Amino acid sequence: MDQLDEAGDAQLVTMIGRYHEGALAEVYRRHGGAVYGLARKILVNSAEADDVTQDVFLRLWNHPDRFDPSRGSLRSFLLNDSHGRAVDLIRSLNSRRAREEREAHRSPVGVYDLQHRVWDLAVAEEVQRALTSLPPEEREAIELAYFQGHSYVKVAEILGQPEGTIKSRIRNGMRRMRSTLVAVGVQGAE
Amino acid sequence: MTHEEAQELLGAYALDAVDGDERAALERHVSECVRCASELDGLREVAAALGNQGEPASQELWERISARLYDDVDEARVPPIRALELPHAEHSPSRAPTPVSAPVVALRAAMSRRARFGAVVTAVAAALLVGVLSVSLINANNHVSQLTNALNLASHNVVDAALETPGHVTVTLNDAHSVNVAKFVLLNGQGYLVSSQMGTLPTDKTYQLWGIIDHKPISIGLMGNSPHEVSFSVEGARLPTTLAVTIEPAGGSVTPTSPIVASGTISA
Ligand SMILES: [Zn+2]
Repeated sequence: MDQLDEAGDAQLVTMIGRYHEGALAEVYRRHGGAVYGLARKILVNSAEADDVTQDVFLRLWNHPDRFDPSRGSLRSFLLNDSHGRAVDLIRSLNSRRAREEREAHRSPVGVYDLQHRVWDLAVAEEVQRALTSLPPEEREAIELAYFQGHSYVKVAEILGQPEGTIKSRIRNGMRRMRSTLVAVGVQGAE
Repeated sequence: MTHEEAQELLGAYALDAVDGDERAALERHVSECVRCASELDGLREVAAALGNQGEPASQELWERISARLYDDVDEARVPPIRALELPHAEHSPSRAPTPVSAPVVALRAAMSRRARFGAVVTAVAAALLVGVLSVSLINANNHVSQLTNALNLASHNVVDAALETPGHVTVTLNDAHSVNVAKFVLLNGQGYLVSSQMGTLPTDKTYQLWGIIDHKPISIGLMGNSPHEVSFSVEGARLPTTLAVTIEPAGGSVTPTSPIVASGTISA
């Protein structure tokens, strides 16, 4: 399966369009951990994170045409899908959800190649730096929305601020992050 | 929603933090406004970067996902269903493996003869509709994965032991001339290649093994271009009735793209 190793993400998605199972397996190998990691960070519960990850990959399998390579990387597309699903889940479930549980034993699939791993770590570092350099009130609003899965209306309620203020803080913070990341050469998740 | 209102909301929307009617109105605007759509793409990349933590994916979860792949398949993406008449292979369960003097020639002859039965071949290929397959019946992590790495040096002992264990089933695969091409032994859901007369293929080709369930081929896996040590597992409520082999591009195929070069029925 050397060809799959070397295929670009967009090429793999085209193959998935023809029901090439190996291509989906390769996409999973490259991005499955990140998709799962984000869902777990938001949901805390690993069984729910499994469900979200499964949904994301089955959706890619059944609707590969939803991915448009001209609009961003496949990793970003899958992460945004994972985030959207995790947030839907967190808002639909009541607060009595188990917020933590023992992590089941998980064996890594294949070898996560060093090049991607190093890139991920470098990106994560730049992103963390960009986030930390934001004015604290912008950072707080973004983190409450993104990592806790709250709507901006809910964030306003939590912080006791007008909705318009929160909207602006998020917008300004996100734009600032965008220009910082572009400046350091991180266009998004590769 | 005006462009200005949309601009205010794009950041929150990129974080999935806009709900209800407001969300729907924003999505309508973005679908018609190139500037908002373009800005949103950039903000979505930032959102993804926030959530991007590299870590290895789990094997267990992949097994769960791959078992569900054909639950909900869009039939528009696959060829229309055609009636399938599988070629009936000679079945001779008690026959000892027959030495074949010129296996490569025999295979080639089989293929060219198949070519004359183009209509049958096309029907077979077209009917290999993935949409109705239930791949979960066969437990392979990735059904187009290589099978040849599964065995270690003890493989011959494993195969010999299986052949000596009561309850094993041997499956003889014959080509179109009823010439024995390969023999497998099945025991407790595991299958092993016992002997092979399959000739070496160019490196950009592979032999691919299929299990037929309800007249539909389901990929069991790839055997490489020169099969020697092959093992696989077959389990589930319904087992394949037939094993079949095709020659595919080296990466394997989800459905057979070439005629079956050898097949044999499985009888308990
Ligand atoms: Zn606009």
